[in-house]
This record gives sequence, structure tokens and C-alpha cells, in this order.
Amino acid sequence: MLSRMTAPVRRRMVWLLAGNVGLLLLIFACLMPGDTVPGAVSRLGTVLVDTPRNIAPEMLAAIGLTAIIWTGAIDLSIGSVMAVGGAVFAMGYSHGAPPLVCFGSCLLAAGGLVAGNGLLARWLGIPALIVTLAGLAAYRGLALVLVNVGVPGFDGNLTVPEDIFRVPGRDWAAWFLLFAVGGAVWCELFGRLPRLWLAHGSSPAACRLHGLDLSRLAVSAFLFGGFYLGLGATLYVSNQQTIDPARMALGFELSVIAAVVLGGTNIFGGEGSFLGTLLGVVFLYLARQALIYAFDDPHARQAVEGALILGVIGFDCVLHRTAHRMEELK
Amino acid sequence: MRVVALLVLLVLELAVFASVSGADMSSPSGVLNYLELKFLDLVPGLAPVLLLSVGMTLVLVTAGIDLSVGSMLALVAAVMSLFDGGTTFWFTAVPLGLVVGVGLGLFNGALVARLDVPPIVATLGTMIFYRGLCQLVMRDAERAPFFDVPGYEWLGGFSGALVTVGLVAGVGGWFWGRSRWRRELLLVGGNRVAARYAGVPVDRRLMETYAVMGVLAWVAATCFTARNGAVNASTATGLELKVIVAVVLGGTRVEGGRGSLVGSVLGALLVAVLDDGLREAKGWSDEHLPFEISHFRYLLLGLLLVVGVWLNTRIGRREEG
Repeated sequence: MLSRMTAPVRRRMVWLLAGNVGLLLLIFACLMPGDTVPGAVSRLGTVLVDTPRNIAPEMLAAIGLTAIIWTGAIDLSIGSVMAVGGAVFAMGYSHGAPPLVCFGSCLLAAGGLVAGNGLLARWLGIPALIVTLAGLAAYRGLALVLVNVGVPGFDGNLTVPEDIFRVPGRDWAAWFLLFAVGGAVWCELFGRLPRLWLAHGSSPAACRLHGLDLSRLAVSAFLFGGFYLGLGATLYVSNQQTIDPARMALGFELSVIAAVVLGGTNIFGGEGSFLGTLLGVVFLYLARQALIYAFDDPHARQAVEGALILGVIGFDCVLHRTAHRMEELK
Repeated sequence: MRVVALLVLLVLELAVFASVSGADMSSPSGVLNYLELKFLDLVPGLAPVLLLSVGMTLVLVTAGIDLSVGSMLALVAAVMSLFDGGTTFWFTAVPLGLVVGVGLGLFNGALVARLDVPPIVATLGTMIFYRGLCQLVMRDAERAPFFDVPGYEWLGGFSGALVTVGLVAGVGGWFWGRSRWRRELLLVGGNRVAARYAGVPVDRRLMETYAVMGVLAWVAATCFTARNGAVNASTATGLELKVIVAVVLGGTRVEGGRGSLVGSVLGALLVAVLDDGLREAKGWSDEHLPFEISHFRYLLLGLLLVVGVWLNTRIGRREEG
């Protein structure tokens, strides 16, 4: 698998591994003052045990988005898609639907919207960027309309106190994560489609000459992305005790894009790996945890996190700048 | 052709919302009275969208986009609100607001031109980063020193907003129509490689464009605070989409290389009338619809954006064909 990756992606993964270890040490150092060594180790252990549950939605969304970005497209609407998933879940819950129906409808709604983005971009012949930028606002509005219409007496948010509705996101998140990431890596190792998505993003002209149907390839990436994002939305929604479609997953898209880019995926498409994305998501999560221990002020935390994400994306683009300019001048 | 289509759409929109709001449209004087009241109320509120639409047209012409305009406006207003009201506000807060606006615009420009970050990703990042800074400045407070500044309130009224918008759109439009700068921006947006070969300083032009956007965010922040009198951390949330929809409806291509300031102004009017009409139709919607009509606005804006881009693409293809 490593031999299939480009050298920059391999290098990035080594850096990310080192960075993740460094962040763990930093968190440990932040936990040390005012605590004994065994106490700090125990608290660090708690952080690690909670990690799979906390990163599962972002990880699954990142894997889905990685496939989409490989083809040279992007989906900016994933935060709002999560909100629609939440709204559909809330509708099912408020009408007394069993948990499986609620989870299934959430998955289908979120996944369907992402796949629909790809189809819409193909049919209308306009960039996926624009379709999903419109979706960023439209799906948030759709989520609010859905809860207004479908949840009787909705007053801004809906509390889900029953534990059974939180099983996938809270208790089974690690297993979902294991199987989903394993499936994605297996697909990257042995599947044909991931290679074709990378080829599409790398050189659409070459793919066209080879006889590949580019729009069908792009739609297949959105379908794959839709499945993973739908799964991510289900885990995200079922991990929340309160469903609030107006504020749910606000800004989620940027942290997912940052994790994907950080993992070595070229934002212009044609390069990357699912394993790199995995390391990128873990890095951002650990960085966020370190910020929580380092900054008491939540307002400062958001600004620093925003700066960190921007720095990551900017750094990546600088690395690809020369190649991009050369490509532009060819 | 597009201008005529936009004007017809505007008249249709006004007619629909007038009937929904129950205005007296039975006589010519009733219609005139409705239009007068409408525009007296609409222009001051519309000024920020109109001003930002002018800047967004320039940015889109270069094949860029700026999603951070709402956050920029909020941050500039937040920084200005840190100063006490009084005459000194004009010499301290207002120039500092300009410096902040230009700085934020240049930061966006540097990300796009110097670091080669795709404009949509760069400005999506700065949208969240600037909003974070705004929260850092404002905390959970709301500040309102603006009405204590002598003469400041005039900018938020009908005549002040009209003069400001007229100056920016009129002088800007005159300069835009005659300058070499315009041709260079169109070339940068239409074919960046050709622009480089033609000796156009592409990176500098991009930086200038985003800096102009920052200046216009400052002017818009001034108009906004002069009208509303207060600012908080969530000020102007969602403004960017209205601005982009206005510009796209006006005929500016998101792929760059073509844009019209007149079209953008008409597009901004369309969006403002729609926004205002949906607000006015609340009473009607409470009776007839099972949901809040304000939520429907986001759906409509998204739909308008897709339809606008699709139409522009089709028209572009037909012209090329």
C-alpha cells in the first residue's frame, strides 16, 4: 500500500505520526501541574479511551470527503447535511419510530443529499463547489423547515433522554469506526475505483483520452462519500443528547476539509490516502484537546483553532504551489 | 437583455409581496405610496449588501470568491465599537476600522495570491477565523456607542445610505468602465496563464481586489452600525450568501472573466426585496404555512444561487458556441 502512495503523502504520514506523539506528550505536560504522575497518566488514558467515540463522525465524514476531493471536487455542505440528518432523526423520534428506523432514515437522508449533490452537479453541468455552497445554506433551511413541520411543538431543540437512541454514537462508535476505516483501506488497497478517482483528479484530460466516463466517476465518488457521510451523520446525531438543527455541526465542513488536507490529500485532487486522512483527523482532535488544556477562555480557543486550521491548509498549498504553477503553465 | 429580465423579476417580486402584505394597490397613488415607503425602508437596510456586492463582483471576475465578507463586516464593526461615542470616534475608531478592513482583505488576498489556497477554502477558513476573532473581541456582550457619535446616524438613514451607495457604485462604476485595471482583472479571471504571459501582475491584482473588498467591508460596517446602532458577535451572519446570490443573479460568472456592476446592483435589489418581503409575509405565513417562513429564505437563496449559476453557464456556452 505504501508503495502506491506518492512520496509527499508518505512523508506527510511520518510527520503526522510524530506530531500525534508530540501532541500526546503536550497534553500529558498540560495535565501534570497540580496532579501526581499516576493521576495524569489516568486522565490521559481517559482522553485516549474517549477518542474513538469523539472522532468517529469526523473520521467517517473525512473518509467520504477524501474520496470526493480525490476527483478534484469538494462538498462544502456536509455540516448542513448533518443538520438535515438530525432533523429527520428528530422527526422519527417525535413520532415514536423505533431506534433502527430513526438511525436508518438519518443515514439515508444525509447520504442521499451528498449523493444528490454529485448528481445535480452532473446534470446541471455546474461545479460541485457551487452546488454544495448553495447546499450549505439550503440544507440548513431544509433542516429547520423539516423540524418545524415534522416535530410537534418544536421549540428550538429536542432532547432525546433514552439511552437506546444513543447506542451507535456512544457505545458502538469504536466498532463502526473500525469496520468503516478497515473497509475504506481495503477498498483503497484492492479496489479499482479509488485508483480511478485519483486518476480523475490527477489528469481529467488523460482519463478522457483513456475512455473513462468522468462524470460517472465523479458521481460514484459522491455516492461513496454519501455512504460514509451518512454513517458519520448517524453517529454524530446519536451521540448528542439534544438535537438543535440551527446550530448542529456548524463549521464542521472546515475542520473535516482541514483534516483531509492535513492527511496529505491534495486539495486540487489526484493525490492522497485514507490512512493519511485517519492520521489527520487524530492530529486535529489531539490539537483541540491540547487547546482545551492550554486555554481556559473558550472564545480564544475558537480563534486559535481557526488560525491552526488556516495555517495547516496554507502550509499544504505552499507545498503544492510550485507543482500547481508548473501545471498551470504547461 | 439580462437587465430587462432582472427589472421584470423585480416588479413581479414587488407585486407578489405587496398582495401578500395586504398593501393598497387599487389606485396609482396607492402603488406609488407603497413603493415610496418600501424604498425609504429598504435602501438603508440594503446598503451593506449593495456595497459588498460591488466588491464581490470584482472578486468573482478574477475567478475568486469571498465567503468571509459577513465576518469581516462584523469584526470591523466590533473593533470600532471598542471606542467610546463622541467626536473623537471619527478620528480614532473610523480610521482604525479602515485599517482593520484593509488588513483583513489583504490577509485573504495573501492566502489566495501568495499561498495559492483555493479562494473558497481560504475564505471559508477566514470566515470562521474572523468570526472567532469577533467573539474574542465582543465576548458575549453587545456594544452600542454608535448613536452617541455626532453625525454618524445620518449614514444609516435614507439619504446617507443613498449618498454612500451612490458614491461607491457611481464612482466605482465610472472607474470600472474606463480603467485598464478592469481589463486586467477580466483577463486574470478569464485566463490566468494568458494574463501572466501578457505581463499582468496577477498576484498583485488579486491582492488589490481582496483589499478593495476589505475597504468595502469597512464602508458596509459603517452603514450597518449607523443604522442598527449596536453590534455583537453574531452580527451579519449569513450575509455572504445574500451577496453572492445577488452578484450571480446579476450575471457575473463564478468561473471568472465576466461581470457587471449594474447587474449586481439589480441582483442586490432583488435579494433585498425578497428578504424584506419574506419578513413582511410573516403574518400571512403564520396563517397559511406549517413552518416559519424565515427558514424558507435559506432554501430560496440556495436555489437562486444554483439557478443563477446554471443560467450564466448556459448563456456563456451559447455565446461561445
